[in-house]
Amino acid sequence: MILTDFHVLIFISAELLFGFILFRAGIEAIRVSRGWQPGSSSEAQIILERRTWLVSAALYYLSGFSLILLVLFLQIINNHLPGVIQGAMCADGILELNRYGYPALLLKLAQIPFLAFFLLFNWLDRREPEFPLTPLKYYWLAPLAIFWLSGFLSELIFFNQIEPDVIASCCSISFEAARLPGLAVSIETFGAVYWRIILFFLPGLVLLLNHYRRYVAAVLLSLAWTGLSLLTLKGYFVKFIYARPTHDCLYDILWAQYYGIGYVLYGLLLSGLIGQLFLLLWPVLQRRLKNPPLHLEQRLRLVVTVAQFLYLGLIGVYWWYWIFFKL
Amino acid sequence: MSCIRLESVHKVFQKDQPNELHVLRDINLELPPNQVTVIRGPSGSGKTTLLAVLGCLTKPNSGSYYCLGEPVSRWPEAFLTVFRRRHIGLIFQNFNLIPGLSVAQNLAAPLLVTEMKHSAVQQRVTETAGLVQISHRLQAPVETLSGGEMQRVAIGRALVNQPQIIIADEPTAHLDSALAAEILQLFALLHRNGNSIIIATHDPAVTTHLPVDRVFTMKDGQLSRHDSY
Amino acid sequence: MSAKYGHILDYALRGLYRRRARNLSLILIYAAVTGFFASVILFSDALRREARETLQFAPALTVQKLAGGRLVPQTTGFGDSLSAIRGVRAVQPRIWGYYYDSPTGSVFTLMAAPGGTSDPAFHPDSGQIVCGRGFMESHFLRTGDPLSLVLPQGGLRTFVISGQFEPVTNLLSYDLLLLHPAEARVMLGLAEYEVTDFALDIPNPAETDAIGLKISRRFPGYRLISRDQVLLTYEALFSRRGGLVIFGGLLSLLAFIVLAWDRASGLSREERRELGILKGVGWGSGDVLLLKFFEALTIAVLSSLLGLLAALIHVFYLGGTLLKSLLSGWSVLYPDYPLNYNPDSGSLLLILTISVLPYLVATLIPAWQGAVTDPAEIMQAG
Repeated sequence: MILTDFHVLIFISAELLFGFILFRAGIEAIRVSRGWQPGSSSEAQIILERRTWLVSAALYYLSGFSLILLVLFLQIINNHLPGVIQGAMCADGILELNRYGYPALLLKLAQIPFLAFFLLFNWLDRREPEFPLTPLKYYWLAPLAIFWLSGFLSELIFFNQIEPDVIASCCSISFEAARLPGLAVSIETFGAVYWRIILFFLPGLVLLLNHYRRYVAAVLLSLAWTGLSLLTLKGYFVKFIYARPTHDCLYDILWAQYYGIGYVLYGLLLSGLIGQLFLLLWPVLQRRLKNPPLHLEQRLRLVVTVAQFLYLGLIGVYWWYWIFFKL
Repeated sequence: MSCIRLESVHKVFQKDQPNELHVLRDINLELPPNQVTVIRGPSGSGKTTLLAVLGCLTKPNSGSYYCLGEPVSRWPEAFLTVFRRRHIGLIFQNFNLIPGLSVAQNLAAPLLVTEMKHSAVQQRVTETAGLVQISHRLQAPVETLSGGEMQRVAIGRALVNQPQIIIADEPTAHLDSALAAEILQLFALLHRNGNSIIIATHDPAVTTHLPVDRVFTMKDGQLSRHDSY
Repeated sequence: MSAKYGHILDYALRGLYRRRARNLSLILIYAAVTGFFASVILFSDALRREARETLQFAPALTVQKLAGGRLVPQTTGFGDSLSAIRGVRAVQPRIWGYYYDSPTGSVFTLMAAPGGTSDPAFHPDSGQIVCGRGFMESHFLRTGDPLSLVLPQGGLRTFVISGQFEPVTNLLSYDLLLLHPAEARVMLGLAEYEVTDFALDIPNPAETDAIGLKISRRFPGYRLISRDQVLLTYEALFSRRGGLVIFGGLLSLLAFIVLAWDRASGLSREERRELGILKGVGWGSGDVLLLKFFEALTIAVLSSLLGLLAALIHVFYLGGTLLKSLLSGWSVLYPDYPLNYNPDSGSLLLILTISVLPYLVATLIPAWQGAVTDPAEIMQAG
């Protein structure tokens, strides 16, 4: 349906634009990485220095684009296609249409940390005249390119295999096709009380671990906490956002009728995770810098903690509002 | 501490090509702060390139340049730009004002990429305009100015960041002798205020209006010192 | 916000204003392209929704007989076998087909008035006909006028127009001709006991699939069409038509990008000189890049919003006049076809994305080229 549904068509075109810039930036990054001579004042080095500006600018663009494309993708699978595909109520049903749906979404999300890493590395790099992180920072482009390309291919196959075709759909054979099932796994257990208690205490533990610079443990715990957040959100908390005890969709909270609260919640989870991952890299990075920014580490810790507690606060507000005022 | 120190600086254009051009050859130069330095020499001798190196607009191919104690020749362009913005005022041969903008906007241009607040920028522009005596034309488009006024704006723009070092390339070239005298008196004032001044010029009038400390001559990319003009 | 960003944004806006003659023409062309593009998207989205609303009233399941892949008439008796199936409340035999109208060269839908409706306006007696507004207007007819139709075996039959479907009824009644069942049979060349297909009324929508399955097992060779599937057909049809026009739109957008590229990369002499001076007086490459980004963003957002506004007016106020013939209809859609639709944020985001991003991309490399101008150039230029 890529060629017939213009929402999809436009999305794919925008993805191609993204790929074009990534490709262009990648070529420049390879050129710079190959010829880079720190401290040299040769003509070639000056030209390479100028090329680094193109890569930086391109990656700023890509960061903005990737967020826009993510929202657009969610919009298509969550709002547009459910109106086109009979039987699908939200993104979950759409993504389950074939086995490329979820990989496409996850590969899209996976690009964001790499972009964030590049921007942070780039900022640190440009603070010192030796450019201590060039060409190291450009290595982030490799996983980014791989994730983009595989994500893009997944999207192509995913959309291409969705066929609301004239002939096929008018044929009695399509009656055999089952209606779309919801998420098969039952995760009701994550509504249980002890999971909620753990959810609310883990960020404190993360804070403590970060304080004592136990970053590996903190990353593992943050990952576990993020997973638990999603499971308890689906199993319990999301019902309070919908104000309907039977509804446990993770996508409907992105809709305007819920004030797009989903974007805020998922944004907090993602930024907490990115901050935590960067903290893991920080001790290694610090050694390469002559003049590391004084408060970066504290600020990253703050980002992690604020993101995690703000998330808890937000779902808590929905939860307690119901418990204290409505029940 | 010397204000400027060049150690065996070379600058080559079109390096490793058949039309390779050695513009600066083994330049060694040391200037103490708050002096007036004059560089003479026929056109094509490399004067302008030397000023570009001194003004941190370009980097030498080899040799070292220390400006205010900093090893600027080792820095990448981006850091040179910031250094230049903070410490060096450049006055170009042909004014290089931005057409379509007013005098005030031209004066403010270097301040727009700093973190100064809008009101502080306005105040600095007003002060600078007073210093170079162009306050009466602040809102005029620069195309409507006379040559002398244009040069005042160009000087004002070089001063607006309050640099320690002022570098001027032929500042009196397009002016008649009376206007040239006025401009040179302005340089004398800056010198009294504590600035280091480097001027490239053919104009013998500089010595009559300015307390010149050193005179150099450029020839074929090499620099030699004179004891007087 | 950092004071520097404010200064640079201010400088960018003033710069755009200074070169307003040049930028205005760019913005107008840009807005026109976006407007065309956005019209297509909004218009086909609106039609799509219209069809969806229309089909809410369609039968849950339709049973047709196929022979050699073609639709063939069925006997009325088959309806009894269908109504015997558990879960089917009622079976409505339907008589319909197409009528080729040589004067206009269009195909109209010819149908027998269904039983069950109470409105007498839709129950033409023998010798009467109720027409869709589209048919009436293309033939300059009014209620009460006589109308002659060509019989399948040759010769003419004259009817009196007893009523007209109002445009609000829907998309599909636009080209509809409604006749008395007996006369419809004559016009369509059907025998007295023959009908075109059967519409099944199934009160519980959850049972539709099971009933469909049951029928297709018990009566092979019959085609079953559910409401959902008809909806899909329309979706695909609209989308395909939309897709074709979008291709045209993409091409024009591409042409525009090339134009923008050309203009932006050919930074005028004055602009190039200005950037050189800014770099000479202490602007860094990053500052110039930011300046160029602000300029590009302003132009792109301004033009896109203008184009979007024009498209909204065109589609929802003027009824998409310029697009109708390209996009819609089985025959022809008519100018005053009303579209009631509040565009959703997804479509608007889509339009803005495809309009703004290409321009930003097209201006990135020229902006970079301007930004890395050698600051030493300023010393040389005479």
